[in-house]
Amino acid sequence: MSTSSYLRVFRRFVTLSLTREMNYRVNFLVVFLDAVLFFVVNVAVFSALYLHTAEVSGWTREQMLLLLGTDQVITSVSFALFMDNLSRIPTYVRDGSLDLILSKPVPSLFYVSLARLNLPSLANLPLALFLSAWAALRIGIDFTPANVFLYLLTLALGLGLQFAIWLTVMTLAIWLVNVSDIHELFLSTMTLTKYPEQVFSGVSKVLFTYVVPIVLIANTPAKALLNRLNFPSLAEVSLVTVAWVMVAVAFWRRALSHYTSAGG
Amino acid sequence: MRKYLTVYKMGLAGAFEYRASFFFAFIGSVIPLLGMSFLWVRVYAGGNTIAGFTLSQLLTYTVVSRIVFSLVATGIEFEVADEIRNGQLAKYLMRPYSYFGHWLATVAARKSVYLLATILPIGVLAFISRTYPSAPSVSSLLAFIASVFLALLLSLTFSFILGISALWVVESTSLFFLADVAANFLGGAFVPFEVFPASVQRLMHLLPFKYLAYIPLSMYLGRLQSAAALWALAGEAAWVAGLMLMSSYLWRRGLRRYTVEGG
Repeated sequence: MSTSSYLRVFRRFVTLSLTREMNYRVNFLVVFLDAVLFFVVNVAVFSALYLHTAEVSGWTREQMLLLLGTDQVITSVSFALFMDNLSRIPTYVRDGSLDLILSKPVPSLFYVSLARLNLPSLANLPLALFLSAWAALRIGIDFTPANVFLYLLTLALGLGLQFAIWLTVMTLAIWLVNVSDIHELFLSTMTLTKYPEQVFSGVSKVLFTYVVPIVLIANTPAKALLNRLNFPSLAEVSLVTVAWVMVAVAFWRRALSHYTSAGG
Repeated sequence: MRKYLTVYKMGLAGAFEYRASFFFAFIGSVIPLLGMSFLWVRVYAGGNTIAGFTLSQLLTYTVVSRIVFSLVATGIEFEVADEIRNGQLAKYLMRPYSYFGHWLATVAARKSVYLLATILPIGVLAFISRTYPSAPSVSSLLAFIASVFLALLLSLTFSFILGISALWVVESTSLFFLADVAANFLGGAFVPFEVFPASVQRLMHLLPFKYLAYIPLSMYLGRLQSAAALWALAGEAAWVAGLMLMSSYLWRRGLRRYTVEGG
């Protein structure tokens, strides 16, 4: 499929998801309130922590809030894109609707990743951007085309990395059939992305920066804006992300070649 | 009483099917604590102390409050609201026991399995690895157990009230998530009240959510003892009684509005 047809299909996904969502308009409001509340709680807990200390592992309150805001930007977008999609892979396998998806003219990976968008998740995005911008201004960061570009680039890398890890976890479904428990574990592990990489040590450091590098997801863009990201670490994060995406996609393809229909 | 025992036994069988899920859900609720715990370790590494908590007390608080909160949270508001909306409720109205009693017995069964599926393995692990979170005294432990038990009743009644709000409001499910976040925060499930400014603490002390984590934990850590602990238990019991009265009043009012279409 050409890029323009991908875009056309994606636009159709957006329209369909929006139509579905319009049936539950109250839902939008409540999800928004939910996002606001969750946000306030996070900011409150982190701010309260800084009533008792000036810095944690070299991160001041504003720097920590920048990291929190950045993390929420990625979470908001990735939940909007993938939350109702990747999480459904086990369902597709169990009820046999994967057959239907495989017979569609759209590449199956594109379909299972993006067909059902969770648009209310975007409610969080303005708040997250506001918090990031507010924190950045408080720190005294000068916005230049260069660091804004670097921020956006590393945000995209973080999103890609999260997608790849998520897809890998859900692809296990093709073999394990019931992985809803594993999905819960994945989501709760993702709550760790909002912490500075320096707080992890020992086993957790090895696990979350090298084995399943979730710590890189939000720390990298925050570091980019704080002018703490040098070229070698940018290159490293880029390589890690590309490698994870390639492995995740290869794993998905391999899983499909092993897939035998559940009947139906 | 025998009727409810039967419901309890049925609940046991049902909950036992999900013992692995309970365990995973528990692990899932513990993982987010890692980040908070690591953060505390770093704060204390800088030589800070917080409201008289030692690092080990604060880490104990972080972990045990999560265990307590997941033990007392029932989530029945979703099921109650579902049964009201899809007409299943009619089935219970014809049975010889109360709907609230049905949930009381069912939750008791689920929590029994939950205890076995999660807390027992943790206890064994803690015993083997010889890492005990700041061991409380016997009287603290008794007060802690009593307050967790009352907290379960409190949270069950609160969830039941949320659930039967479906008798008035068509779409209430999404509000439940909101209530959950609020209860977590106001209950002190993330961090002890002392971390917050005094004005916020005063508000938190006025609300009943403090019994869901903060109060039991204060007893566990020995920060709330003897007369103060007894007063706290009395206050908790009063809240339980008040909420139960309110729920039975709302239930009777709500039932008058309840209609089932079809059958």
